[in-house]
Amino acid sequence: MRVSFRAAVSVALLVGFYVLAFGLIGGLLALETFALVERPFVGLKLALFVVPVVFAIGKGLVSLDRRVRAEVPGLLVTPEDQPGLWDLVRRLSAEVGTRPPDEIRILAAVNAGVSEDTRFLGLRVLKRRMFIGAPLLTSLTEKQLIAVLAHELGHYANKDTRLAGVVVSGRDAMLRAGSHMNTEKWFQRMIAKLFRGYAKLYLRVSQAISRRQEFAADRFSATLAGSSAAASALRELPVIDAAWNLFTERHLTVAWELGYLPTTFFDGFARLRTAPELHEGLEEIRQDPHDPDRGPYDSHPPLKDRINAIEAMALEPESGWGDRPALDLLADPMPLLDAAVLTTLVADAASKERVDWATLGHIGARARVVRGTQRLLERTAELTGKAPSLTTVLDALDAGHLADLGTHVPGDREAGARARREMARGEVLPELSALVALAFSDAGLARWQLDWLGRTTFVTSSHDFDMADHLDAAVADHGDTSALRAALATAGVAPDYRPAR
Amino acid sequence: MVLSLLFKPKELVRVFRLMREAKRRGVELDELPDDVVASFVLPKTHPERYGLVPDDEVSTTSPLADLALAAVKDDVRAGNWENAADLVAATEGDWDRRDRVVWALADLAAKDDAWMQAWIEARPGDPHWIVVHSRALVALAWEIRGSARASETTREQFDGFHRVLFEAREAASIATSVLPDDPTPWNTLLTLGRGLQVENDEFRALWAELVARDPLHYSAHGQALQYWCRKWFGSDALALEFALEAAAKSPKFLGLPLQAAYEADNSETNMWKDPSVVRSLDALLDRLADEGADTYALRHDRGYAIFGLMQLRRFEEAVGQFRALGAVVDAGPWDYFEDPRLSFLSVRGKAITEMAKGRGVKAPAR
Repeated sequence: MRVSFRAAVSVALLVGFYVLAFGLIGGLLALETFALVERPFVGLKLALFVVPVVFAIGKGLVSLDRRVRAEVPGLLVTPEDQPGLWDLVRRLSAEVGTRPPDEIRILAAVNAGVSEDTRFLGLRVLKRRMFIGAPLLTSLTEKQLIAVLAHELGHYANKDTRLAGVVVSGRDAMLRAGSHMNTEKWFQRMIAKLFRGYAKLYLRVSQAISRRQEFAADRFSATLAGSSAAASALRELPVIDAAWNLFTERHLTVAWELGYLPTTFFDGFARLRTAPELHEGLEEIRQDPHDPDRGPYDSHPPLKDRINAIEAMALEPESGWGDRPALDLLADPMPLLDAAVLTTLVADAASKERVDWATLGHIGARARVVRGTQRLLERTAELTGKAPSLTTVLDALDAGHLADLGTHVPGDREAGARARREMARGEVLPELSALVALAFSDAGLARWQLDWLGRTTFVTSSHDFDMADHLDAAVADHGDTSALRAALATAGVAPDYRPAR
Repeated sequence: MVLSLLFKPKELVRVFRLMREAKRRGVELDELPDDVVASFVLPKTHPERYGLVPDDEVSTTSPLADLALAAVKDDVRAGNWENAADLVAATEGDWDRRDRVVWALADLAAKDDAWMQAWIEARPGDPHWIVVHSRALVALAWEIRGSARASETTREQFDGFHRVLFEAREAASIATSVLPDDPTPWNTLLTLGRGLQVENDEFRALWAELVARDPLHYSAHGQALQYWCRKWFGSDALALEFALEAAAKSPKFLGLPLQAAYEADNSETNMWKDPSVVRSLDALLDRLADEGADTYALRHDRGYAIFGLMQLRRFEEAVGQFRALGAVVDAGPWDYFEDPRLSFLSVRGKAITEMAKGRGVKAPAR
């Protein structure tokens, strides 16, 4: 099937959607009117059915046009603030043959895209926005960024077929079909089902067009940035994505719950990207890139197919595009990018205390360790009736309460006291170790270090922090805590030490 | 109570009757006493008419086989370790008995090791202590793990299991060096082979050490057969191969091929009908003809012989084995079941019923 024909069918289906909906409403209202005139009693009964159905269809139609009035994500950058970036985007739009976006916004995500506010299933466009992920700006070269942006703008280029652009907007609208319906209610659920069924048909018919458009958009990338930069950009995206996930989960928000954020964000991300401990893992992703999960109706062909297609074009870059880091396009980039991340984080991000990366890592790791000692302290307090502290734990061990300090039960129901004691040893030893490590850390003798892979190591300045034997002795049968107590006293740990949260 | 034994369509009626009985007594179904369940479930076969002990005389209590061991177990329970320590020392050279004594004391030590502590404090460096200690750690590890499936075993139970198994291995290694001629710690290491997931080659090396010290070690052959089973780190074929080799070494091990067949029972091939297994069974029956059921090993062999005979529909001979086995249900394969006595009685009932109806193969004249 030729693209233009498919596009025409798609657009017909889009229009047909409205025809179907208005047809249903009209038919039902006509039936209702007829019934009310001819047999008023039947008409009244029928109204109980017709009114909710018409209401539901109407609501469904609204769902197609109106997105949730959510805040538009990202940080708005004006042409006055960032003339370099705007200049690039305008030139790219001209090359691709589409109108430039009305807004550019920077996101805290490994993503770029163009989206539009539309009416009538994308048949009319109100506003065009371009979104650029901040991690892309710090990680790609200018040419790679050109490849990514040219691809996104390429979706709206009407050179291929005039209707194809409409088809893409229509897909976005169709994916929203029925999204506003209240599925608790039977009528709305039924209408939503009907709408979605129609939407599925539309998405299937237009799938081939979208797929072709992805390849067509990649052709823009390759033409403007050259095949090698365009292919390398595609390879780089999963790498940036993996690094960004690691960064946000294990570093940026590591002490979030405790009320801390790093002073600056992107210097950390830059150090993570170049950390030797990550090199191998990231290189593996680069060599064998996998597609991200974009949901069942995603139109992108497999990443490897796209890379192969781009490389097969073997296009040289158009002259006039530089090959510097994409970051150079921005004026004073770091505060801008950090601000973009801050706006993406939830509202109370601004109220967090800001600390340097080393401190942040220590705070995050320490909090995890503190959580790991809570059970032992609480159980000791419960058992002895005394205030929970390191000393009361050691006293309980000396008093032979090891088995009572544990909670785990052996698998054999007829197991003896020895098995219960052994289970308790396995439970108490790591908790006691954590407690002792915290005591040393809080006395200023040690701290936790977080490497960029997210692994923590316990670093101590004193040479004789080898407590393993003392800890083993403390939880041994007929054990002895005196060596451990002596070591703690030497370190200047208060006897009633208890970790603060 | 073995409900799985009952949940077969034709036995459903019995289950309903049991439920009615349970309701009448005001208890849950699985709280019904075994004898009550047995009276509903088992066929009424009048075993005494065939020279067998009546159902209610059948019991799982082992007769006292080793009076000295029974005595030191009582001593240990009373907190006196000296006789136990002396007995272990005295068994040196009688390796099969030594292994039984060590296992029995290790089971006690796994529950409570205060007497072990007293022993080593009073006789520091006693080489026999660590033989018992390392075996006790094996027993302790399995108490921590329990016998539930992996999915029903907690991470903490697995952690404890592995931690103690490693301690057991360390202790057993020390024992092998302080008593270089003793196969007992080598048997401990063989037993650990399953829990520690020892590779085949490493296991073979341990096995070579053991048979160098006692080529006919009874317990070790049982442990090794388990290791070579499909459910652990071997296969049906490897287990059978091992068992047949052992049986060729000594008539003492004629029961092992039957155990291998029993372990392979759930697989597609019916190993019971394998000619080599049938030959082992017949040889075992010949050997058993002159023996009673006085030892655990004899009862163990007869139990497996019965399963083989039932599989081959040689019901008359199976009844003959039940006659020789008598009233004690303490060995394999009954001890695999949750309620050994009930399984025993149900198999015996089936053997009698089938024989009485004249089914199956008649016993050859011996």
